[in-house]
Amino acid sequence: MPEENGLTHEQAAFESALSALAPAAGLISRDRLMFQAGRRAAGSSGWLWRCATLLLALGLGLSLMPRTGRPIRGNALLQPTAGTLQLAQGPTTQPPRPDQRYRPTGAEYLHLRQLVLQRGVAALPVPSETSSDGPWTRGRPLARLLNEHAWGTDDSKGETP
Amino acid sequence: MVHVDAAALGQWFGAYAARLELYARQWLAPMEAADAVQEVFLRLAAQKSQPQDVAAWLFAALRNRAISQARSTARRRNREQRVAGQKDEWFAEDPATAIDAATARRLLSELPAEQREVVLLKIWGGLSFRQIVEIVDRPLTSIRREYLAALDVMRERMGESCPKKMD
Repeated sequence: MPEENGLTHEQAAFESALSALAPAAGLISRDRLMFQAGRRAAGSSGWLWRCATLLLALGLGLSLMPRTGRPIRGNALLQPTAGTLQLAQGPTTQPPRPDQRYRPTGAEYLHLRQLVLQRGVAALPVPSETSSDGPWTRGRPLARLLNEHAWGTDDSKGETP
Repeated sequence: MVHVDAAALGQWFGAYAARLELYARQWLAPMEAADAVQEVFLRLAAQKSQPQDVAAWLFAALRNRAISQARSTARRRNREQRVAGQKDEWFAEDPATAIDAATARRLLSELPAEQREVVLLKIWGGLSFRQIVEIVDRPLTSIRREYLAALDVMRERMGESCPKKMD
């Protein structure tokens, strides 16, 4: 006599006997699955943070670029701007006090260096009349001049210009 | 991002993990089957919306993955190397059952692949014929016929091998 789902009694009995068998215990662990699911979820949000950080870094880099890459135009850059070059005051035998020495900023130093590389020593600022005995006196070694004005090293120990 | 909450994922895991592993074992070695099942659950967790029929979705996704994986030559070679050291039990041993686990495993292995798949889905997957149609993409009449034929063949072979037990 056919069953509701088309099975005979024999088929239904055999199906019931088979279904009494339980699948073997699985090798997959519930904890492992949950851990992996959580890690994937954390990984997707971490990706967003990494992208945001990268965009911020790119924006910062772009904003700094025009400062260092400013083009040189004409003679305007040959003359030091006011306040960028302070010559040592007083006798040359006296070491200049730190607050009176020329301390270029990083951008100013790069600017001056680029100028010298392009135009030679003549591009260095012309010393004024009153400072003829200062650190810009002709004959002072260029390397020493650059070193002194670039980094503000204390060169007064036992030396005269 | 996980869209399915952890509690629901845990419930589905408890209900279907062992059945899914058994289903995947017809194509894959034990460890590969476990990995495939885990991957399917992780895919379920990442679904933007919950499938209408979660059980059918799980079996269908596992079927696609397992068949694709079994076709890979490299993976098959690795599987053969790994299977040597693994226990390949499909069913839990239970002295109270009329059919022992090893016999059931042998009877299923002797079936044609299409019939074996339908039997696994129907009996141990707990799916209806209509759900099976969605998974294997074959007509309902064909699936029903394959299932009945498989039961007859298995019962006949069972009677031949151990007639007293089935009487």
